[in-house]
Amino acid sequence: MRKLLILTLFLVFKVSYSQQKTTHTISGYIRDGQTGESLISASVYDLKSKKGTVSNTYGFYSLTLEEDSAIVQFSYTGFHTQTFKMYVSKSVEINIDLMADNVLMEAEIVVENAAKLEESTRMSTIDIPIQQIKSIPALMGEVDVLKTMQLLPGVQSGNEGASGLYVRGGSPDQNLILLDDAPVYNASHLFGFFSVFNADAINSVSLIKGGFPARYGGRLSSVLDIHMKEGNMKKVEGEASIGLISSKLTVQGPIKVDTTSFIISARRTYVDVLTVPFMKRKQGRDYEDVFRYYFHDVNAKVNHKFSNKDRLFLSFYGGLDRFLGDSRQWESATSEVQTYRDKSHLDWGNLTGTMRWNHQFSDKLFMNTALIYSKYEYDMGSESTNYLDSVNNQPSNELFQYVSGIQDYGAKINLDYLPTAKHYMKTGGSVTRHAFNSGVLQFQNATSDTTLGDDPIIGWEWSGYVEDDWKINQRLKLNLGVHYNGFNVRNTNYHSFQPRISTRYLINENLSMKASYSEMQQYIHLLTNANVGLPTDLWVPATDNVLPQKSRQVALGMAKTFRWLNENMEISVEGYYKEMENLIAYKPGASYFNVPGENWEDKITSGEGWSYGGEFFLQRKSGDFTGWIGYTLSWTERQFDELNDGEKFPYKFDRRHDLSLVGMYKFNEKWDIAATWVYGTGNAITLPLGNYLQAGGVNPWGGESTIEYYGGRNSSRMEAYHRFDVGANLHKQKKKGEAVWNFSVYNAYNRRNPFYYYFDQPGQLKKVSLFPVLPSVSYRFKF
Amino acid sequence: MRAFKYIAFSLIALTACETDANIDLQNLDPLLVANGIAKNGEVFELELSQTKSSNDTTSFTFVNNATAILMKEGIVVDTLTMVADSNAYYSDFNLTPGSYDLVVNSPDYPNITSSTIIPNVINYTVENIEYITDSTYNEWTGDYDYFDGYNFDLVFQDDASTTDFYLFESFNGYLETESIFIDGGNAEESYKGGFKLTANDGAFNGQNMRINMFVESYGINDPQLNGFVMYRLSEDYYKYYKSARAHQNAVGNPFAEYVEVYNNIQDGVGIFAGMTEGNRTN
Repeated sequence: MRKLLILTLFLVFKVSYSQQKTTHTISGYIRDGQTGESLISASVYDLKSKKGTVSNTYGFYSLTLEEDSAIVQFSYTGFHTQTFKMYVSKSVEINIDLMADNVLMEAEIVVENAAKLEESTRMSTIDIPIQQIKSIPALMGEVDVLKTMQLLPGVQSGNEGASGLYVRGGSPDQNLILLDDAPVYNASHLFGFFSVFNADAINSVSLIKGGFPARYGGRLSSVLDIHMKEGNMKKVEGEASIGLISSKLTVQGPIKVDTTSFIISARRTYVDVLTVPFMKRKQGRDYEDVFRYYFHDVNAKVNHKFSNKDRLFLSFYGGLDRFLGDSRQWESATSEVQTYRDKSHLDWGNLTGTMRWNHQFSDKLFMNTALIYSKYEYDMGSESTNYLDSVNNQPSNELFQYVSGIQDYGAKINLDYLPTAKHYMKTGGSVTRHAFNSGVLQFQNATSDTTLGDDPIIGWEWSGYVEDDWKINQRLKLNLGVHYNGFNVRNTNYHSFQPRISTRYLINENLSMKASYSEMQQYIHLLTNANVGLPTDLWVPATDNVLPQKSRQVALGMAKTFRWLNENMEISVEGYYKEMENLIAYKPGASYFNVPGENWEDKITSGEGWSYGGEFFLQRKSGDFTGWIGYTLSWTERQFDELNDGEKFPYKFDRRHDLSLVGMYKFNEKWDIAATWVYGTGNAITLPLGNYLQAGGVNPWGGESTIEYYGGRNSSRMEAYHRFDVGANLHKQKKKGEAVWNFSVYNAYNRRNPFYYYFDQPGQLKKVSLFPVLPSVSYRFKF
Repeated sequence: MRAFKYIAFSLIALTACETDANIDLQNLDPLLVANGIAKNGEVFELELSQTKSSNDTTSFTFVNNATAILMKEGIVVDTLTMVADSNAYYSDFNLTPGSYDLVVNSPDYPNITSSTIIPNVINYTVENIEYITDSTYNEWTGDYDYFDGYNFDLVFQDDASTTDFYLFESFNGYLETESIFIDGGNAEESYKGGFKLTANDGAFNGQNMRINMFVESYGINDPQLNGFVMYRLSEDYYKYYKSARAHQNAVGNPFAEYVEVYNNIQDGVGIFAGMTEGNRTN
């Protein structure tokens, strides 16, 4: 199968260049006329020859047409379409500034002339406009990109409140989350209740669940490609918001108009500021325990246009979650003489940086190069001072610190080549140096300084790809490619050639059939407690003992656009089947927490996984009433020789039914509302069905012991999950901008959704729920 | 540990409520539980009871009206005798190495069967026994810790033709030897008041083994109390022992995977396993 696909790919390149006529190329950039921001995937279409293309991530497009008259239309969702009549007699550069349709509210999208769903070979891919993400009601008013993704078919949340993504039966480590080309390893704040992405700084979000183009690799289940805003090239503008738990400020503008721009966006929670006064030492107490928690993140970007052909981008993201503890003891309740103090911290966060250089070699060849840095670190430590116990006339002091994480340095190059209107070719490669720190423990006091733990494991990962989006005729279009990647760790090398193919067959103007096949290979694993997104989750490499993860996925679907109540509707139905190999899991009884000196490879076992199902997506993108219905019917199974007696068992997040209803309605210029309702089959869990007596002599401490009887791994089900959220926006025009009050209610009917279960005492199974009905209010001001 | 404290603190802070669960747990029809460890030279004792559902708060029920038959090499050698006071069935058949079957007929449950072996005796010696007292400087406390114990070599020849499983047991003291890589990893598993250490021969099949051990004896310089014995186990006992220990460690730990305990009772649950005790040394 693989050889056949690769052979087909080469035949494509050979056959497609025969029978060429005199052609000329129209090329340039498509940007937002108000901000200068690149418009990604904007449509360029010649109504006469029915040939078209789309802009790339940097707004660049290239359309080669035969010498003839043409009617070229430039369109993008939410923007006025521009149409040019011309006679194509030579190659020309046309840079287009599209103007946003200000009549529309932010969340609305005009799709009349935008690239149609059924036109593209892409399947299993969903782009959600950031304005729409901002309109959806959110937990405690915190707009969350990842939680919006969970509302899409094929994407599931883990537990209540968690922002992890489980895409088509995959685990969270199988998602490649890219922020301006830099991988983000832990996309969660506060154990997964909020994601690290600040919506105010985001320009576009694209999620690919299957039919992966060859340019993507390194993860099995999905690619979440997030691009930060580039910064307004025309004028300085900003946005500030104050919510119940955090505030945000975003400022962007030109450093030099139409040449250099910047954007900086920062967010910080302030629960700690509000709660600390209540923890301070009170009268009559000889102790004080102060705990603080906050998270903050900063996004910043500068982009500079050297010329129409060269552009430089510098992107930065830094985020940190921090727990601080400060416990103090005094001699007595009335004394000011301190006897003991223990200061502790628990920090985790990501740091990413990307430097990208775009160069346009010709009207058909575009290059992007990038230098990438990404780091995730978990750091726990304490400093204890005993004032009553002196060493060398100093209070005795003990320091303790534990650090783990992953650090990447990478470089990549991508080339876009558009030789004719029938072909959109991409090729490129990358190399990344990973340093996996599986935990270093340091202890220091007056007499010793001890460090435990291994040196970081260094892994080199490299990749190359070639792909072509080939329009064979008006009905048939193929995206063919091959992705190669390799990995070196501890003198062990792995290699993989991964064929990728997706195809579209246009049945009529508004209906197409699509199919795709892709193979993926992944060289890093996440050792995790899949229940909660803990910062202690550990990224580890494939090694000589732990093989790389592999997957094969096939999907078949249908896409259609139709009009309903004078508005365009999009509908897609897809079925998929995915196989996964070399998945890892903890062995029975293994602890999730890694202790320095313990070999994590001894604690894991490897197995296989299967996921299959169907997805239905109906979306209305324009009009006063917008929204979507997403439904997934799926089965996900795992099999490990060392687990469940080697029998197949349901994956923890095997969810038979998953339904999301999302609706937004604009009453008038002042008021709009949004509501979501989600329903999901309960997660599969392992609960003891009964218990029985243990044989004597096995318990080394003696006495009677009992054994819990489970009846199989994940053989029980949590209660079904459902929740209704509703929110309203009140827009007020001010002299210097616009103010928006957002009122939202999370879990409006106070559903007690399960977070976990436990037996309180024999016979009493208890359910713990996290979030009751949570109203929130926030205020946003644009200037 | 501090991380767990923070995490627990945060989760509790976020916890909205705790309510009775509304889950239809799979109904567990009572299963017959058979627990019997057959050891060479000892009376065989079989305990029969029944499982109870998770929502059952009553005590365990013993099964006293069953018929239990012990077979060796496929031939019936004894019908076990029920002793009501001890809720157990006994056989006075002289247990020696070989393969054994157990068949239990009960009017209230499906018949259960099981098979195991009592392995051959392992010959071993304990050599170079040395009683040691010493002290080490404790970096944490800044004081000297005094200790005493026995240092010795355990010597035995593993059988190359079979997969063997062993249990080393001391009746007093704490196994202080830091790393004994004999069970696919560091097999140390000790506790004050004696230790048990299991091993399979995967890493040393057919080898002449010499394992050095130091057992801290906490001031008890009495060879009688500091005895040592080595067993050869059936694979059933080894798997049951390992999984039951892991099960005990995992229950109640929200950060550990659950562990299903090894079961070799057909149409029931429990364990029928054999082991051979070697000569005790003092």
